[in-house]
Amino acid sequence: MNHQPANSYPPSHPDARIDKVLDALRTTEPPTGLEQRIAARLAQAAEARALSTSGFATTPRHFTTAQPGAASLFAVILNAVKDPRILLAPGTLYIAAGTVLTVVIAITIVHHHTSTNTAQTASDTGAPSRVPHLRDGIIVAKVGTTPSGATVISSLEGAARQPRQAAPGATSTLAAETISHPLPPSAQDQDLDEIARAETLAPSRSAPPMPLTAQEKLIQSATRPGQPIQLAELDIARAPILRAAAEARQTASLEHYVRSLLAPFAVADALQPTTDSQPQEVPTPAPPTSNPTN
Amino acid sequence: MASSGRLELPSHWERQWDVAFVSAETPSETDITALVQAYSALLFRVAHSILRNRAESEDVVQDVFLRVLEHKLKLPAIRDLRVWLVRITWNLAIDRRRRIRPDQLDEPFAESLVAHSIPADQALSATRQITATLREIERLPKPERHALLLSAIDELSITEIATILHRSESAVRALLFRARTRLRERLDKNERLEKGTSA
Repeated sequence: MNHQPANSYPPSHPDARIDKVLDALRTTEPPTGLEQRIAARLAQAAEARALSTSGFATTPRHFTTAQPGAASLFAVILNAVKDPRILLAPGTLYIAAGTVLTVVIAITIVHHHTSTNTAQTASDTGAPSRVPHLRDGIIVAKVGTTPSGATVISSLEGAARQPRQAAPGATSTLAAETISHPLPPSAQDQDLDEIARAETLAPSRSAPPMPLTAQEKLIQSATRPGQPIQLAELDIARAPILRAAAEARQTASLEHYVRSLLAPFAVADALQPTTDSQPQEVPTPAPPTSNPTN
Repeated sequence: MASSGRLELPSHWERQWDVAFVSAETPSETDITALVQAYSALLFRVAHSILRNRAESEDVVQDVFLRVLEHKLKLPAIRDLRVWLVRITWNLAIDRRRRIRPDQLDEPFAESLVAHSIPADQALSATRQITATLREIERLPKPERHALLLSAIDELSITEIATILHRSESAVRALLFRARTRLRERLDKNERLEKGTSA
């Protein structure tokens, strides 16, 4: 539709105001990079969907038949060892599998019982497979191999990498030696790039709550904390009711305080009713007769 | 925005979703990318006419294409993909609008329309006028409001608006006329009231 803005009206004319708003809506330009962001999000969604629905199937044709919930955890762990990319899948089963796998390998390394098994696992994986699992901006765990072929487990939070230290008193096993060695700078840069790429491709979250308006900020600055009665008294209709309620509350509070002060005396009087506490009756002298002669 | 503003899918679309699509040609990722390039700007404007917020509108457009990705097997059976996408965008924007306080979106949009070179008091007055206009648009009856907002999008013809709103073209024209007339009367009345109050 082709609308021509009516320029013959003065700016305050209703038609001019309507046309101004409609023109603004009509000429709104999409933000730059919108298509790229949409494409990135679509690619991420498609990849996540393929991983979550096909499990370890190499072809995405199993979308309709694959049931991720039916896969056993053991199978998931085994496949995660073969292909750590599966840990990127959004399903909780794969997250649990990744966590279990990390814990198992950590225990194995710490106790130095299966150093040969660890080396075997590293040799099975072949090429370096450093796959961060990104969820809510926090990389939970990483399992991978160094160029030397040994398994490395590290826990990351944000971009800071904190390699797990070997147990004190550890002997010179292959795993412990590998853990104590820092990664080469190129691998760290690669990690940061992967983190940055994952952050870029992460789905957008809902917008944060809007800031306060000018009126709300004015009200906030005008009110004094701790005195809601004064604020409520600004409401003319409710002011008498609130004032009466506040006075009643104050009176009740004062009575309660006085009663709590006098409570020990009342208890003492009840337990030991002595004569001291009783008001003594002073015998009143007989009124003098006004006329003794009578 | 009225909470009952959600549009319903046309019956022939509903029927099409139930058809078996075994023999239908599956659109590739390239096709979806072409859809993004072709319709993202239009869908952004559709969402923006409802939400009047750029970030929210972009989120809606992304959600639309995610839905397209989910139902990509059924895309070949859709007769008018453009109208279908606009309808999805419209419904998602209305759903999102229900969760947001309208003033939060309209005031920044109104401020963005006011020139920064004018004095502050004039800018404040202009912002109030635009906000009042947007508020009166939201107070219009639902069919009139929908017709007016859709008419603000250049890419949509009267025929397409009629298809989206399930009405005839003459009915859409009548809705547009009534919407503008009602809006003009209300704005005029409000302006007279404000002048009377200030006097």
